[in-house]
Amino acid sequence: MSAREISPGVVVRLVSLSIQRHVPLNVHFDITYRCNERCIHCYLDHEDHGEMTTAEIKSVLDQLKGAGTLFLTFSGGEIFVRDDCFELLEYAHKLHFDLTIKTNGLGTDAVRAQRLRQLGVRRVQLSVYSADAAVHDEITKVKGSFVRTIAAVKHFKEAGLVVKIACPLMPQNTGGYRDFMKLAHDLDVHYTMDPTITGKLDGDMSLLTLRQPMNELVEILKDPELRPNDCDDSSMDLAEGLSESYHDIPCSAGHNNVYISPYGEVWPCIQLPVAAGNLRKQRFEDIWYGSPALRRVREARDSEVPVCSTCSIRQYCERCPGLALSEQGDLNGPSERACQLAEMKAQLARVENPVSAFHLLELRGSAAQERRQPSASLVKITPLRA
Amino acid sequence: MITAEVYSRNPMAAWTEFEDKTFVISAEDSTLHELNATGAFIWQQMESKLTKKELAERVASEFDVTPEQVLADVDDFISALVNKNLVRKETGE
Repeated sequence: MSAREISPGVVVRLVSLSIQRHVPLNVHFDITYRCNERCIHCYLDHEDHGEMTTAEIKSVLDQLKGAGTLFLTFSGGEIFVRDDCFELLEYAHKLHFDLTIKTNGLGTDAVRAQRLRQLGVRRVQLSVYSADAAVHDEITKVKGSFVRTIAAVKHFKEAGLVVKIACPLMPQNTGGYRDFMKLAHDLDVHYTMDPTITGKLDGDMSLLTLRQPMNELVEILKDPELRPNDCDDSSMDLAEGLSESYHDIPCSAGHNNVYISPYGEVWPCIQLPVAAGNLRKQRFEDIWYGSPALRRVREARDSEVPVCSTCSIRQYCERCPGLALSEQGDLNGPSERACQLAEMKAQLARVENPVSAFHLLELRGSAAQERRQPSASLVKITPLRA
Repeated sequence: MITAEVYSRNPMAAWTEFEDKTFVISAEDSTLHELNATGAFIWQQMESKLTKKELAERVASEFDVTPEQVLADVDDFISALVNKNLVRKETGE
């Protein structure tokens, strides 16, 4: 008998086994879409269209435990607008999940933070949009929200939770990214920044106007404090090991990762809204192992993706099948945003004139069009200066 | 009054079981541990409070060995889990 402590090897074995056996190791469970903030970039409809009841969610949790789930994230919406949130967390704790919550922290005081810790919540992620209170409040549309969220961060820290603050980058806040990093440092918490802004779940793509233009992200990508692995070849063993676990599959969605909506819908990932089934009509295992949609997602291999598999700068690419689906209508297709990002990273790595396979195709298509219509523009993309 | 040390899982630990393995996360320090088949069996048993002798007896009946053969290994294993705060030790009657 043995009990090995954490090491990259243990993590890799767990992840690899879960992928090989299709164990839903990671579950992102939005228990509500309702929220007490109105963030300008939010992709959700905050009306309650018939969320699952307490009993329904408990039944789903029972099924997830039986299927082998370890990492369970309760998210939303704002999870604490549900009156039964603590009851659900207590139930999840009794089932021995490793619990993470995502919250804006508006209603969190020291007592609530302590109670969450006692209920086995190990990690918490809070959205903090800026180190500048006015910028944060302008994004959430709730005056005073910055002060309350930062107070919650401190309460969670004092209660012993692992705390991360997350900041989607938009034109409104990108300029202050260094101050955001300093805020995280001062609070002694983890942080993440993400330039991914997605369309609304109802298909409305108007939010994409909030995406930060790629050429304005160069300074951030070059910042070694933000993305050390991009600027340093000595990647962590853990990351290297994990990338082996995901060898030739686009991502964890549908393999060991699953998303559940407040209405019981099951998708491979929150970013990949491919309807696999509904827990109000089917058992989780029937969906997880029997859904044709999930089977199609699992069959995808990077080496077989038509355009991207031929791309010369694939190593710099983090193509998201969900974004590809929303942007191009094909989860096995290229993603414009990923192509732009890969070209920028390749350029920073001093690859000469990097152009993705997708953009090359576009260029050739433009060239053909040019021959037919001499007035059309030949060059559709302009490589960025190093 | 006879007292004995009994052992049970730390209720703050999170874990999952698949194949013949159990993966356990310590809530205190966020470390991940992997238990092999025998370790996973003992982990399952510690849903109730048991002495090391009782655990050795259960291992013996499951794996076709004698309690005497496994008691030392059980002792080492449980002590390791107690040190990692995955298992709680109590003194019971």
